[in-house]
Amino acid sequence: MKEKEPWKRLLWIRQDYPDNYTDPNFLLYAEKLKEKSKRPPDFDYDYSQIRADFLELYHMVLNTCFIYITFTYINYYEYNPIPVTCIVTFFVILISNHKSEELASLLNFKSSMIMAFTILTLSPVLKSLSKTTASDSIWTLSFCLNMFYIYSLSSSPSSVMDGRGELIQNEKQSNLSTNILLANAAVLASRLISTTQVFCFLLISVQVNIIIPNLLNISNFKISLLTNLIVYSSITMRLGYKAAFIFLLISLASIIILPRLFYYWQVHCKRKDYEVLSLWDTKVPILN
Amino acid sequence: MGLNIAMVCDFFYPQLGGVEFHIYHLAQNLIQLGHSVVVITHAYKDRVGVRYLTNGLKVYHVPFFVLHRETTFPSVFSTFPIVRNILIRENIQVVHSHGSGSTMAQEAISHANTMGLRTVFTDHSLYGFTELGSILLNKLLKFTLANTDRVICVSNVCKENMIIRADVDPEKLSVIPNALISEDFKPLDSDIRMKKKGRITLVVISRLFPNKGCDLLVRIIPRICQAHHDVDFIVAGDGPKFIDFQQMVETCRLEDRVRLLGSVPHENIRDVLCQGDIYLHASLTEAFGTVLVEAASCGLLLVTTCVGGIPEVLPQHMTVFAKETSVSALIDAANKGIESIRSGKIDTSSFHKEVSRMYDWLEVAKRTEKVYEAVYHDSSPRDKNWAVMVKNCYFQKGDGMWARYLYVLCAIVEYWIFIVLEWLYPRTEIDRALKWPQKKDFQITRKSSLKNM
Repeated sequence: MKEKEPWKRLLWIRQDYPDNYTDPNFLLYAEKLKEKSKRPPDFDYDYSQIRADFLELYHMVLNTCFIYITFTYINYYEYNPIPVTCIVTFFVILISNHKSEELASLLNFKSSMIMAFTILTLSPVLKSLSKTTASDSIWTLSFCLNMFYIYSLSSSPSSVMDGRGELIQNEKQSNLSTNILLANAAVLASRLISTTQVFCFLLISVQVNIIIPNLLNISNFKISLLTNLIVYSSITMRLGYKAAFIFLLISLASIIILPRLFYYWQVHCKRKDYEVLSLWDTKVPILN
Repeated sequence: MGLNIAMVCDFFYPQLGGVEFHIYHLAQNLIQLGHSVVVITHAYKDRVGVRYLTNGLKVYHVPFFVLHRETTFPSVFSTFPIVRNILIRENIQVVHSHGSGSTMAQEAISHANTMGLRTVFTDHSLYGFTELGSILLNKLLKFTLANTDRVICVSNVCKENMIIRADVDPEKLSVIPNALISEDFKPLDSDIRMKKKGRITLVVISRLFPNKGCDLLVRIIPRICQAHHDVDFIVAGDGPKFIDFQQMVETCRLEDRVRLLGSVPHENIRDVLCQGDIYLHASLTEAFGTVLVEAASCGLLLVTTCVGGIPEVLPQHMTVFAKETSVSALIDAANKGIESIRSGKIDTSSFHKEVSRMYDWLEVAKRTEKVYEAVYHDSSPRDKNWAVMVKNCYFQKGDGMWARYLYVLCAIVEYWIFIVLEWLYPRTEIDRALKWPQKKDFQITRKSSLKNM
């Protein structure tokens, strides 16, 4: 009997093999692949790191709540904002003087005076800038800006992975989030009545949302406790127990359940250790 | 005895493309082999209801809600009543679905399985594993293919992709390539050449999408024009990257040498191809690449990237492969191609005859027919037993608990709907459609015409 020609991986010749013939080499390969997928991934994801990242995000969100708390304090309850501004400013100066020199340079006297006067100059402008826009539009705009702010915060991490997989300080940290925060505050400022209120509101927002997170670690236990206390009591005061309870549920989900899901996703669904999987992916064009 | 076959896919005429032509030609040739074929697709604008194409190919345009890029809204169950009605009405024995990107195709398979019909699935494209969309699609495919009798892939790469993606038994997977009507892709007679004398023309025909390598082409074309003064380009096709080509032509001042044709109707593709000497293909992913076969059939030398199923499609002497998907590698390959055309080393006039021997739709239809036969030959009535099918869904290899429970839940709901439908719209009350009369002598005339060629 004539010996069969070996099977070739070609479509344009008629071969003496059935259409459902499979390359035995590939079967071996598939077998190997399957064994590999049963093993745990070659590199381990640090679950505690993932959890810490989610916790940090939670604190960022809490921190952004302050802008609305301040706004409600001034706009809804119509309290005098000057004492609070003085207290916050005093604390910021106190903390910054305690800190090391590199941070002192960030907040030296000259630049802080320039900032304060700029805000003071801009206050009347910001007060009337979007006066004619309906309040509903302002709330929507502010909400969208706030979402965008959280997104920009979480997507520009202060530390990034370098080529060797080590964490380094992110030098190209974008100031996008700062700008969005200021835009949000500017939009909200148009609902305030007097220039003093606008000035105090902007000053508190800048100090609480930009300067304090740079000076202190907001995930620190004591600060976190204080933040939580203020945010939850504010929500309870203004929106009631039900809203606070819903907020609590969402927070718990985001710090307990989401990291678990994310970890599961990383380990089971998005395994980068399959070098083979790139075989069928769209090739990346090399533009040399 | 011919079978009653239903081809189901979201993509069909009036939309044009690889999958659409595959279904159309396969259906036509199956009709010639004595089977009865209907096509089920969704409604395209005012094209709603039943239409007839050549040789009594009946097309059901079902009015479903179209979600995205001509794909219907995925709802798993909502298509069941109408699909069941059509399948009973047409007395269907085999449901043949096309394309894993098509929702209708996947849903029809699970409906047909529930009704105890035989099912075949053809996949036309490659999918990755790392994108979210692909991951979800692969999960869905696992559910669909758990009880499909046979799967057909268009190339070996596609088959291997499928084995990994959906964990299908390799024995159930056949490779049947696409084909072309070689009479429609004849080169011009040498005495009425439309080509300019002493110049070499490179043709690009592709939808201008990023995955077709448009970023590469935009960089390659000016550099080749600079290196060779006797080279022109024709770019046919439209898409989001068209503007990049326009900008490239304007910034490099190549108006005389690069012609951008925009989208070209399929019947004119051959005329465009015949104006060129070399076909340049820069695609980054490709399951089969029918256009390559068409270009070769028109007597063009192929310069192409070596991705996906491309190396399987045509013999070495018709192609110049680029080593990688980079600009420099493609330019090297194009230079090689231009050089061999210029020096007359390659005779492309024999390509048409060779290609016409390699690919023929009738051959494809015969091989598909064998798959249908195998479905009947190897099957037992137990395969379509509901309990067995639920078991198959549940014991999917390599799937998590959630996915398997969801599969089983979907299957059971599907069976419930079937029982309710049988009670609400009994089988006996559905009118049976008359079959289109068969042309008995058609097959013989075709055979003799092939012999005369």
